[in-house]
Amino acid sequence: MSVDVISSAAVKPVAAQSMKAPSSSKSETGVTFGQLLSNALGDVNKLQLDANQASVNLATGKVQDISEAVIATEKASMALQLTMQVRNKVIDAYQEIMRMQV
Amino acid sequence: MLDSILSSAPANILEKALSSSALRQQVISNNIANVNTPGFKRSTVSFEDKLQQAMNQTQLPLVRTHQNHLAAEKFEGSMEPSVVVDNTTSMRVDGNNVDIDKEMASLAKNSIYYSAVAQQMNKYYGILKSAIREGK
Repeated sequence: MSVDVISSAAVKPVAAQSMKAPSSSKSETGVTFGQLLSNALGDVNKLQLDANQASVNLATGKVQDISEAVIATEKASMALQLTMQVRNKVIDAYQEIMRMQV
Repeated sequence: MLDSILSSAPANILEKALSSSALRQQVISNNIANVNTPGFKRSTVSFEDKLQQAMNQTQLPLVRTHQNHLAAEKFEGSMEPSVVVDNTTSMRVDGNNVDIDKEMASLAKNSIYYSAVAQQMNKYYGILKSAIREGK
């Protein structure tokens, strides 16, 4: 009973997001791919800066809550790894196209 | 280029925090070891407040141009930890002022702080490493 509630609550937002994302990008013609990319990179950069600030706050004893710093750093690390993987895939795709015989 | 990685602000601050935490471990151990020494006064390490001050420094530091000038603690603005002897209190008649419960509590606090800072430092360099290895 309770498991159903949890799983439905956990699944719903993801499903709603994945349904919404294509339609919103289709309707918004204003955002170009380049802007999307630079926004995403800006988000990743912000996460890195937040993580650095959290580490410094921990070292100076400003935050008593260690979890705050750990979570910020974990988020930053994950975001960077995702970015690197997307970059690698893009470069692979580019090289695949360049190798194509015309 | 390597300098900008190794001496960037977060790396520097975390490094200083780690070494001051190690120093605090020694000082607390010394306090605990001397819990029964007559006349012994406990020492503490002051670091976090000084680091905070050094980072928030907006006014120029007060320079001592002569050795007889009085040192101004407030404007020191250095990130070095300092050991302060607490001469003001006395726990027992023999002049010793070590409170063993307090020392054990600060020991536990310090070890949590040390491992948290070490973990943050590990992660910080891990992020840089993964960028260097192109995410592989």
